[in-house]
This record gives sequence, structure tokens and C-alpha cells, in this order.
Amino acid sequence: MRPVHPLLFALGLVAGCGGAEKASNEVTGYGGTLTETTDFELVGLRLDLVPTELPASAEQVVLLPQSLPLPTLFSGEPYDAGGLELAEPVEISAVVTAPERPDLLPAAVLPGEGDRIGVAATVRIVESGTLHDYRAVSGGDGAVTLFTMPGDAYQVTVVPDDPRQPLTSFPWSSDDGLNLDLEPGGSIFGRVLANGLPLADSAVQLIDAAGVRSAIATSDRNGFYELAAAPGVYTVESIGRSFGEEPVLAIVDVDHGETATRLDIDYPDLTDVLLDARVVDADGEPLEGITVRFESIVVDGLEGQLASYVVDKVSDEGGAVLARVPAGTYDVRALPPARTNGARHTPVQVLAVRADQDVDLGVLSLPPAVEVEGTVADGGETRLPGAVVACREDGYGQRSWSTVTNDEGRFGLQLPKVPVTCAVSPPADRTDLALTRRGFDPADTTSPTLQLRSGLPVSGVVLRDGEPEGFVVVEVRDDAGELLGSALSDEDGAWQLQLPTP
Amino acid sequence: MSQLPSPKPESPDPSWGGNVVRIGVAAAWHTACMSMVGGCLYVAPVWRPAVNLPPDIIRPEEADVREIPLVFNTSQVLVTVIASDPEQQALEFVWQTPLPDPVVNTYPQGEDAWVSVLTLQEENVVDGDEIRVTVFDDNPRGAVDVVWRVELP
Repeated sequence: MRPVHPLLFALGLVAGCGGAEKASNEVTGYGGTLTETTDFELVGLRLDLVPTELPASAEQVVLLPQSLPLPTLFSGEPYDAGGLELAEPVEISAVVTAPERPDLLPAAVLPGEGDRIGVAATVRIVESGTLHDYRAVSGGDGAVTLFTMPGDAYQVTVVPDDPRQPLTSFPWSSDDGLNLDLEPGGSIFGRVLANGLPLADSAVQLIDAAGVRSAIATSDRNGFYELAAAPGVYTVESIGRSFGEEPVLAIVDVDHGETATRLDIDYPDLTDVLLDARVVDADGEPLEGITVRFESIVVDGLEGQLASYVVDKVSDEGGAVLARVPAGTYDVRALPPARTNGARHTPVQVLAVRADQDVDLGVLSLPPAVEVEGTVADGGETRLPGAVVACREDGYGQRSWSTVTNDEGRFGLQLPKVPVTCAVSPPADRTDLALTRRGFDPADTTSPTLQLRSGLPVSGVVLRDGEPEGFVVVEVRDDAGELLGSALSDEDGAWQLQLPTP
Repeated sequence: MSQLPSPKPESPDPSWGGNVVRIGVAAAWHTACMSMVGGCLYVAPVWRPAVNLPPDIIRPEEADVREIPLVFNTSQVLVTVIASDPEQQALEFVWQTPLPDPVVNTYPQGEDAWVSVLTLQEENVVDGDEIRVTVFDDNPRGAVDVVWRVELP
């Protein structure tokens, strides 16, 4: 392991050849779309470099994973990224402070008021659409230290453990010092009510525009809650009491300014109903350990609001499941486990179950999985030994299965009778082929031929301090984060992969 | 592309050609002993049963002697194992994680290496969780385990 000297902070990924300079001219950011036409172009791709050297302990820092944008790639034009220099992490130290707040409710402390104190908080530093996503936890003194990659498009979010300290977010560059002196922030406060009466011990949480959640505030015996936040637009989510007694209720686009914002949350008089079912196999034998998920489409009394109620129940030894839910309309899905008992069964679903009173769903019969014997071939229908086939359920529990094709290019998997998507990696000797995804439904076909696409070559060299760096995982992903290709740098730091083409 | 770095000594050449030469020499020696000298005091077996050697773990280093700390210095960690098989058979990787069906990308690389990358999110683990991958060729009895222990900051 190579130790990292704290002063060796290289700035950015420095491309060592013309190809990468070309990249910087053409890239507009990480956002974008994958455009596929006859003369196709690939837009909005990013390259991830993941060193496999691991730190020996939490105190030691080695190279961090790093992302960089790829330029637009065109059909018939192999891309050479040239030399990619691994940057050293930057050490960041700061102290999270905020004005001490009086224990009153609602307590909107004006700027400048109150003594500053260290704040226990979680600090997140994220560059959207990249692997540059760091988190550190400060102690009671507010001190925090973490390592990041150099970058100037970070968003810092501070989530204090105390919900009455402000949830705060701001843009940041690693060239600048990190100031975590939080402004007071006005409160978002109000009462949680059930049918007009105070609801105590109910959980409420803020979600900022980037999806970061605040600490949870709990309503007092009068139903009051309080959450502090810097000015911004938030979603306020009422989670209800523990044990899922109330639906989750989301109030979106709450425009919160410098001062306090009052927001009452009023649950109507909700009626609970019972949903019960019995889970069996194809022979009618009860199945134990099957998760049955009840997910609301509409909760009665909360129509037109962003209300949701989801609960999972596991079948007992007799295959029985029983759920108490607020009256409404539900999708019910029986989800066999990935492993152990019941794993070789097919999930089933019953959609739009109307439950305005107790409902007996009857028997949920899970068909067995089927033996799929398929082949993997190239565009010329030559069968491919040594290809990796990894299939995943579309939806449901998203269980996965994988295997490798034999000498005849054939594979066998036991798959559920629901649509699956298979990612097929070509054998090592077919460097002209790309990682290819193919979908099929084992209920319709049990002998699929999965054809691999030819690829657009992308290559480069990984360097560290100007020297070739081996054992670095290189991945290319689209703007949705889906993996398009991967490779490992060799002893010369060289790597090559193929991106799937239309 | 050129070869992967080789942190471990290469395995003996298991090629069939080498075996043929060895068998031929041994057979000639035994024949000469029996016809000219009247027998041999010790006759080594002409045929040696083929032993399917377990996979070699190339990365992480020292995986066979220690539990590897898996430090979450980013919110998402890619856990990587690189292995090769002495007989150059295809390798399979079975991951055991707190998530029942984690995202895994496995592919062959170069002449005889296999790479398996597990993607783990910080919110899906707790401090002290064990992450285990079992690597095996077509003989599961020769499986090799690599174990990581989650360390959250």
C-alpha cells in the first residue's frame, strides 16, 4: 500500500494526451441522454476510475474513486481517453457551529442572536452524477474531517442531529475553505392532528431539493413539531407514529423563507381494515417466509394528496399473512426471498384491491421457477463460451441470478415466470463485443438466444504520479447511472472496453 | 492489451503437452528397468490424478490471511475482487451481503483473470457488517472465500 502524504494534493484529473483535451472541449456536463440512431452518438457519459487498493483502517486514506465526463462519442470513431492521472484526495477540516437556541417552540432565532455552539451533525459533500459523494459525522464539538476529490461543483449539506438546528445546503469548491457556521434559519413548525385532535409522538421530516433528509422531529403532547431549515423549497413529510399507524403524508414545494413557516398536518378520521391471504405453492402446500407487500394507490380520506401507506408482512408456517391498513385501494405483491425457503418460486401480484372493509384475498399461489436453457451468441450467431449471464427480475423483489456459458455457449438458470433483464458480459477473447442487456419473459420462452452487440472501443491509460497504475476498475455509465462497459487496467495502466452500439 | 500485474508467482504450467512428455519419459524408464535390469525398486505411478486447484485471489491482497477492512470513505463503495484459476476455468462469484440481492458486475479480463465488482451503498450497511464473496471454478469444493468487515466513519 502506498501511503498518502497529506501535502500531496494534486488538482484534478490531468489528461495526458490530446484525446482528453478534446474531451474537455466537447463536454457540457454530466447530464444528457443516450441517443441511438443509425449514425449514432453517445452523449452524457461518464468515466469512473475505482482504485482497488484498500485502506487498512478508517484512519488511513488511499486513492478515492473518481469520475470524469466523457465527450460525445460518434459511431465508427473509437475514442482514446489518453493518460488519466489519478488525483490525490484533499483533506477537509471544519467545525459545525450554530447559534444556541432557547428551548421554546417555535423558536426563530434572529441572525446574530445566541452564542455559537458546536453542533453534532452529518456533513454530506456531493458532486451530482459522480462517485464524488462523501459523508462525515461530527461529534458534540462540531469538529469534522473528511477527504474529497478536488472539484468545484460540490453541494454541501449539513444535517444537524437536533432538528431544531437548521438543515443547510450550499454550493462549494474544494479550492475554498469549508465554513460550516450555520445561519440560524427559521423554523417550519405546526401541529400534527388526527381528526382535529393533537397527535403526539408523530414523526415529521424535511427533504431538501437534492433529496437529503433532515433529522426527525417528534410531535409533543399538544401535537407541535418544529424543524429548522435555511431558506429554500422543501418537502415536509409526516411519517406518523411508529408501527405504521398513519400513512406517510408528503406536502411538497413548501417555500420556506428567513422567518418561520407554519404548516399543520391534519389526518382525517382514518378507518383501519384487515387484509388477509394465504400463500401456497403450485401444489397447494403452504409457503412460510414469503414477504407480502401491501402498497396503497389511494388512501381513503386523503384522495388528491401525496399520501402513501406501505407495509410488509411475512407468511407464517401455515402460509397466512394478515395486515391492518388504512382503508383505501392497494396493490398486493407476494415476493419470494432471494435465497432459502421459497426462493425457487415466482412472485405474484393482485392489483387495485379495493379495501373499504375487511378483505379476504384468498389464496396467493406462487408458480415454481422454470428451467431456462439459453445460448449466448454474437451478431453472426456464433455461440460464445465463457460469457457471464446475470439476470434480474423486472420489478417485484428484483432478485438476481448469474452463471457462465459452457463450452457450447449455453447456459442454464432457474428463473421465475416474470419478465427479467439479463446483462451479458462477453468472453475475454471477444474484445469486439460489448456488455449487452437483453430482456425476455421465461413464462413465454425457456430457450432464449441472447445476442451480444458489437462495441465502440474506448481506451486509455491510468497513471499515478506519471507512472502506470494497474488494478484500477474503469467503468463507463450513462447519465442515469447504468453501467455500459467496464475493464481493469493492466500492468501498463492500459484499459480498453466496448460501449454497446445500436 | 498486455498482461495484468502478477503479484503472485505463476502456477505450474498445466498444459497437456507437458504431461505427455512427462508420461512418455516415465514409461520409457519403467520399460527399460523391467526389460534390462529386471525390475525397479520403486515404480512411481505413470499417471497422476489431475488436481483441480482452487482459484488464486489477486486482489484484495492478503485476502487469504486476514479479514479486509471495508472503509466507507464515500457513500457508495465498489468492492472488487480479482481472481484467476490455475486451470483457466471460468470462475463464479457468490456474494453474501446485508442486501439479499446486491448489484454485482462480473466479467472475464485478459487471458485468465476474472473481476467481480459489488456496489454497496452506505445506507444499506451498518458498522461491523460482514461482506463475503465465495469464488469457485467448476469444483465448488475448492471454493475460496474473501471476507471484508464494514467500517463506517
